[in-house]
Amino acid sequence: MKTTAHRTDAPECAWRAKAADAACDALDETEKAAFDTHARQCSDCRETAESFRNVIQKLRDGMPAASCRDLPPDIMRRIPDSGWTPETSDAGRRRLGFPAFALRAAALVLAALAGAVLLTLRFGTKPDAVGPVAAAPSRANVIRDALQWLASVQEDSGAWAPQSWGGRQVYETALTGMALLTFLRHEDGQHPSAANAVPGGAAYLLTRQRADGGYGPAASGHMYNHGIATVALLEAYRQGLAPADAEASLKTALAFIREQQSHTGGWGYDTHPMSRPNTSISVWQMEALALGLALGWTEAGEPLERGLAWLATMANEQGQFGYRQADDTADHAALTAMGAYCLFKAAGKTPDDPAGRALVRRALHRVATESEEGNLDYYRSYFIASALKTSAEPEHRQSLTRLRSRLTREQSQDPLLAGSWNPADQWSAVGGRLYATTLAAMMLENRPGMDP
Amino acid sequence: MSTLHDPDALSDTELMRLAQQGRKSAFEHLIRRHQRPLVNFFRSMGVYNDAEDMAQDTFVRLFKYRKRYKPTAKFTTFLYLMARQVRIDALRSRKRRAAFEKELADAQRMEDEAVHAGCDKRPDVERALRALSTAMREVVVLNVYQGLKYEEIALVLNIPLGTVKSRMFQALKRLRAALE
Ligand SMILES: [Zn+2]
Repeated sequence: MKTTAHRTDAPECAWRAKAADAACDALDETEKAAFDTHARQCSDCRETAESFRNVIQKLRDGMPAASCRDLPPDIMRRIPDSGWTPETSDAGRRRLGFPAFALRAAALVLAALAGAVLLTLRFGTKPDAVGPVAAAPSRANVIRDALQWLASVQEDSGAWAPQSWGGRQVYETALTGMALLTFLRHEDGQHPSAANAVPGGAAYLLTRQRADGGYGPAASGHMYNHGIATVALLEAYRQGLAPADAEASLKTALAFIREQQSHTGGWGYDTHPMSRPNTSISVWQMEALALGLALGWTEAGEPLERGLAWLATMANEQGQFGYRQADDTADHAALTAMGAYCLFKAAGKTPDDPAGRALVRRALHRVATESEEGNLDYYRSYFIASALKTSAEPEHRQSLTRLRSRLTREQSQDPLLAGSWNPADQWSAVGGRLYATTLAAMMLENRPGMDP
Repeated sequence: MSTLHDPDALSDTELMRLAQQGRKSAFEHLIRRHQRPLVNFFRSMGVYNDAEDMAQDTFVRLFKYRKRYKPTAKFTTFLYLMARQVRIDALRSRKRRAAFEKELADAQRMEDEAVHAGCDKRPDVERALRALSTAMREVVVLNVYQGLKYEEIALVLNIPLGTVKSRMFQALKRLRAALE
């Protein structure tokens, strides 16, 4: 046995070559026991193994940053469709055990049924009533499959991680908020699948609060994270499902929304109060303020009124809303729906405004008559559905029913992803499968909308 | 059936088997599970700008050779076998070689600037890795960063187990000196 320091290479112990293997955990149990016995007597081997472990630790600490864009979309474009089995003809049918045409037929039946249910709804039937046809996937079952999928992909931290499902990590806070809302809006968060999901998600969001009061990372677009997280936590708090320290956190969060309001009354992408406001970000902040006001937190009233006044300036004579100003975009439907929904949420919480009510009626009419062809845009459709849900007009309900039966058809039938929706629109690279799934499930839910 | 509802509960081998049967979503899930480590593999091997493209090429190649995969082999072994081929092919192409060399030069310059600026210890690790021969570096990266066992590395690199061990030993000695 030699006791030479590890820096000199010779003469060396015959065991020394095993020091690297020991440091790399590459020895089997017998070898490891033998090496350990030897190393207790041989300082050379002991020190060498220790120094190698340090090197490996340094390598791990200096590991290159693990960022990369989502690769499947590009890869799938390079693989011919003929390389795949059509997913709808697979044997793993979830609900029906029928080929695709039967599923579509069932969906048509469902659509007709749902129409009938919704018509009776206006005359006081319980909103969650489900028709008597057992074979068709009921709306509640479609939602529960979505909740089951969401519950299965929640991280141990309580978060939902968009980066694992095709989205961007920077929106983890927003996506966690959306997943939380999806659970909270189904049976008031009382469905068994929510039992672990809701406390974990809410607790996680509370840990995301920065010193300035905002939820999520201080990056561009942070008002999406903050607005959505605040809405979700307020819902949880309202339903008595938020942790005990939520109230203080939420009051700080609402104060942050107030601070971020621009001088014109809206909210924009960035922290700066001069950041140019847009409708899409502003509606989340206003929904949070409306929820806060409903909880009796009167300090939310003034910023909400200023926000609504700003929102009214986004609308043109026909009741269409713009993005940064009235008439600045060709796609009015989504923005108009946002405007209508937001005004509805705020109604009754601020002084009654006949002009506002007239605006909502005009906006809803526009939304109900917009075409629903082409690719589903989940974000757009979410607000359209939210707006339509506020109305009892048959025209609006039928429009909602069409949208819902389409969503039911498009829920993933793949056993690997059952209950989720495939992200396939312009925002999918940002929000991924979590975004598509949470919004689709919430569109199928009665809330938000007709609830008081 | 119930385990299928949670794709994360499926092993690489199970997902690969589903992909062999033509299940697109299984393959997508497999890509998402391995894309980050794979991109990191290329970055650790000194590829910077092209790392994502090479990862993409690797998965396309994996799809082409999917029928050759046997569940007896560990999936990552098969994956890094493809990845290594992709990298070698890329270096063979002259155009890419030129780009690669420029990239190395850029990286070297950036690193020098970082060292001058007294930055963190990350450049030290990268520089120490870059100073190794490709053969040694591959062994270290596959073991330390990609978590492959010696036997798996031997399969990926098509070298005897003893060679993996001696390269690792030599590499660790050099890295120790460089990171002292
Ligand atoms: Zn010894």
